[in-house]
Amino acid sequence: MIRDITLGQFFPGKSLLHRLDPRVKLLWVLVYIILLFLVNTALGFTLYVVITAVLIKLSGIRVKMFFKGMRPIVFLLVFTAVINMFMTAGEPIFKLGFLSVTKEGIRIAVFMALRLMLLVTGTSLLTFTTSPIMLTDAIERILSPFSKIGVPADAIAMMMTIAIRFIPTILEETDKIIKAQKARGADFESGNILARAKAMTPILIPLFISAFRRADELAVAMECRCYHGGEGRTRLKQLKISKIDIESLCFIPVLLILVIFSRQFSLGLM
Amino acid sequence: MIEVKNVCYEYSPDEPSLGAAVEDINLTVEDNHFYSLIGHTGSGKTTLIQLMSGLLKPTAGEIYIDGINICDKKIKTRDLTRKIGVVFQYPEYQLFEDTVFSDVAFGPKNLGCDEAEIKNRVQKALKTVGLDESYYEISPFELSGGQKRRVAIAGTIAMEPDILVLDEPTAGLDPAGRDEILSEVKRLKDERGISVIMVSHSMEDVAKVADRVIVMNKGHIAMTGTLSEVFSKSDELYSMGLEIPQISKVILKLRENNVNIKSEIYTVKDAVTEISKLLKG
Repeated sequence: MIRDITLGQFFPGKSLLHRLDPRVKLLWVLVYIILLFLVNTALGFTLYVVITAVLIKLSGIRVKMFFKGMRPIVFLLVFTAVINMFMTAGEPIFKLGFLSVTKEGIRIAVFMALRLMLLVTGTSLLTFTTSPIMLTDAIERILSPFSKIGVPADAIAMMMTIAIRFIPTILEETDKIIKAQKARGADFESGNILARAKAMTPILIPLFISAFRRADELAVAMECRCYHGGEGRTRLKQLKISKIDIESLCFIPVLLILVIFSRQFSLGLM
Repeated sequence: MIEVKNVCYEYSPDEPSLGAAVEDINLTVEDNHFYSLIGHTGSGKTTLIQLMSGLLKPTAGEIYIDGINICDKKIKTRDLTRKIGVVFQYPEYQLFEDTVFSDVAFGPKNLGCDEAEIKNRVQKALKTVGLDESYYEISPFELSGGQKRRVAIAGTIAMEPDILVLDEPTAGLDPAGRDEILSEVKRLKDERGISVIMVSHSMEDVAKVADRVIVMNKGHIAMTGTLSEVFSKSDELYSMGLEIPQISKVILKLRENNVNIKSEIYTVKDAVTEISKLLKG
């Protein structure tokens, strides 16, 4: 169960999306998300779905992986859709007891679900095609102008890199501790919430202790290799804006215009 | 007694290219024996012991402990812990209570023992690993590495299982610490008549305590048998990246040079006896 998490997963590849500069991709995701909330017509959503499908095709990553990433939000999707369907005032279509489903409700429910799904897919496109190191490098570069006003850009980037790097390690460790305590007869499944929360102590305490121990060991190891912060540090892989990056940036105004245009066209009901 | 029948386990069945961690495992673990499970890193030893203790469910095949099919969904891991107790690699990282006593008591408490029984079991277990009453109220985190390891092993011993499984119990300990833990486990096995399965990379350790050896190679069981049956096939062991004890190599060399000494010598102690016999005679 614990191994199924796709968050922050990266699939190495050589597709167009893989080759884009991570800063450009970051900007694109930001624009993608902002514009997604401006879309409010069926035409606009069709446009978005098509663009996203093309991007998925370009990334060369199996569609299955995107659906896998959607698994954790299934509950949220259904919940918001149902709430929207019943709680929106408007012209009723049919009644279920005291609840009534309205036309506006269905419209909002469908749009909201689509929006959430596109949101997850769009951000997945970024994390699937960008290695965590590239991503933190990009964030460091974006934050670096702020270092003049005291924002420790390099330290933030290093912390993020370490945090991402240790996700699988800590997961593995958790799995190991769970097994060890199960072997001693620990029961995590029965009892009420309070009992279950209490049953977590045999996992959490060893986990915290080992996390602190790892942090300490890592700090010593880094100091031994003369790490002293970002000052004067050079990189093996320099981020460079290339031609494809500039070309892809040109599509941002195109998308903006298309979205604004789509807002003007509400096709009948939708 | 454990019977493993045609067991196979895959960590990611979605991706068949990764292959199975263990495959086609058939094995019988009899009562009152000291088994040693050896094999190259990644040969599936840890997976096998997790399967036998019910922590992993096999993708195919069945495992019976005393005739009970542990793959049955109705069987809870908790009920199995009475029969089979596992000490994982570096077990000191699972300690969590504020005193040594209460940490060792965690297992028996989970089994539903009453106060008196818990106290009795904890005392016995800590005595087995050589920790006296002065340690009871100390925080396990203040102890040395070797002592922490003992507390963790005592935590499983206190559950009084019929079969005790130890995954590299001596890894990272100094020679004195290794010998103490090995002899404590050996004594426990002899006193209680339980079975022990010990995963080890040290052939010296294996020779000291085990009477049966199970050899794993690339997810399969390559050999099983008594200590001398397995160690007599040194060439096969070499081909799997394994060794025979150093002293046995010396004996082999001696035999090659026409010294008339018996070949079944796996510990330094035996070698000393045999060589001095030879010198006198």
